[in-house]
Amino acid sequence: MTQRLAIVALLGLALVATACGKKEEPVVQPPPVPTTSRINQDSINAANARRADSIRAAEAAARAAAAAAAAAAEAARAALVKEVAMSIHFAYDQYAVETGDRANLTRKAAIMRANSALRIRVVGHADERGSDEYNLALGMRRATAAKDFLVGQGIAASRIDVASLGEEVPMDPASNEAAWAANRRAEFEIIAGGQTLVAPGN
Amino acid sequence: MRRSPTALLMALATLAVLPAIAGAQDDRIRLGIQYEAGVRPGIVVLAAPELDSVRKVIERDLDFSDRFEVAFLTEEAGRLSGPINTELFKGLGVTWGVELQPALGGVAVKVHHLPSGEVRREWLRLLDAGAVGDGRMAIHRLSDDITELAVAVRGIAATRIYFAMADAIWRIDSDGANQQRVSRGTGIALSPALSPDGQRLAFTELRDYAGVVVLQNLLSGARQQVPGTNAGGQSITPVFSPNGREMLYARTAEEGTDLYAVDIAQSCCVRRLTTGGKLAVSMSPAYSPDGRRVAFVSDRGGSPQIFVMDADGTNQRVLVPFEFGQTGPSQSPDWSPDGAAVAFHRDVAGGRQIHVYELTTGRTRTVTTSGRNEDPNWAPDARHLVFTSTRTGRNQLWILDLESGRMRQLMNVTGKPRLAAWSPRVGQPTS
Repeated sequence: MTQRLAIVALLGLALVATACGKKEEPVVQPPPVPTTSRINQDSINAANARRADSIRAAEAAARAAAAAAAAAAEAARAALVKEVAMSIHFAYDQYAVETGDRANLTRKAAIMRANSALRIRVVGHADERGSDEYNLALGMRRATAAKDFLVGQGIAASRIDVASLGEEVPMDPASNEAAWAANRRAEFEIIAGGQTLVAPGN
Repeated sequence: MRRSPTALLMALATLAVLPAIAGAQDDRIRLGIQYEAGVRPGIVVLAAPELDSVRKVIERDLDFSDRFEVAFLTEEAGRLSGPINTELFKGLGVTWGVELQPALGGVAVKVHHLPSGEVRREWLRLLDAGAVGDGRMAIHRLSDDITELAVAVRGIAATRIYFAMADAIWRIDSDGANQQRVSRGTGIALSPALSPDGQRLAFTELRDYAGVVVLQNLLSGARQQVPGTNAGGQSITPVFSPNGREMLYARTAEEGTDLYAVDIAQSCCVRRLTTGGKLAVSMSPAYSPDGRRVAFVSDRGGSPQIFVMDADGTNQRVLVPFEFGQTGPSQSPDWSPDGAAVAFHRDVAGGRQIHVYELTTGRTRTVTTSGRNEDPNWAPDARHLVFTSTRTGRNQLWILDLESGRMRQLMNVTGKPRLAAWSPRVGQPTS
């Protein structure tokens, strides 16, 4: 009985609506109801993204730490290379190691002791004032004197090559006292074992 | 008959207006009058117009020989339009007249002895009238022929000077023309030395921290390494023996700087001649012309000084006297081709001067006075030296005539020429 009344009422309303210009009401669709599985997947994705971010951050931190460590190691190595390569200087027409250069050579010897694979070449040079040919012999004596000092510190002679370039490769091409002083030198060059160096005492 | 240079100059100046010399109207006629009067015969060179370049080269060669009073003529005055006016030049006190005329196949050369009125010699020569490049050497040889005829001593015009500059070995004609690079290789080339026949060049080549002696054939350009010179260290200051079969050099290494001999004819048999010990120096060997002795530098007396030994390395002793602790370092000896003297450089009072030690008298002469002068090397005539000098402010090569004291700058280049070596007389043009 109730259903019949409802149907009648609805029909009555429909007739009234038709009689009033036949306007249509918009159909409003209800929003989709999220399912349980979709909610879970979003959570999972978010969690995964956070995890990946954290991994990347950790990896970047590790890389930065490694780079910092490598940079520090390279800086330490470069400092040792610089110490090994530091030139010593001589008085005019002399080849005796100057007192002020002994600490320099002693430090080189310590580095060589701490790095048994390290081999070097000592190259003697002269200023332009001596005879060109005599300067080749003088440069050799300077290189040999420096080598002798290192050998005296316990370094095997076989680890040290010597050579001379006389006055042929000046550090400073000028012709004055400062240039001559800079050019009367022995230079030290690493020829093997310089890729990894440890500091003495490590 | 001899005239004073001034009188000769005045007389020659009048030639400018004499029709006998092609109507010359030039008051710039000059004479090489910087030499001692009466020592050198006067000489004049006249040529047909198309041979003026040849005439100028010969004029300069004769002047650089330092054996003549050369009457330098302008192009107009030196132009020969007919036979040489022998009476005119004879009257002016000129002894020799050289006449150059074009001839079929070359140049006809007449050398007039003016006092006697005789033609002492005639040659027909193939000469490069343009006087350029290696063709100049034939003109230089003619100059030397004229010198030999006139003063009975061969000139040195047909020679070259080799030197180190800009990491290479170069050569230049003795009159300062025709400069060319000679060494081919890379590295730093030093210490050129010529074989007695002038066909081979030896020099030190520094490369990769080693120094070897390279032997280069000047005709073919072929190079070879001298045996024993690649034994470590640097091999320096090579020199050929007078017979060209042996070479001496110094090797500077950890065990010291010592002299070695090597048989380059058979490429073998390296022998050590000195044993100075570690940090001692023996270097810069120079053979006596007979090949029996060798002058060299040794610092066994405290500072580098000039020593001598027999060619086999025995009997080593001081050659040039010095006072221990007083005499400055002495280096770069070169034995004169006549065997009478050894030239070297010595540090004196803050400078460096060329010295000549006379073996017969035991006297040492200082022959330069200003600038830094070093590495003297004798010309084949045993009276001229080439050396490096800073007298003009920077390194250049200079030539000194020991008899007159006359000095001339060989060339003027922006590089740093050094370590000059005077070649033997050039028989045929080389590379």
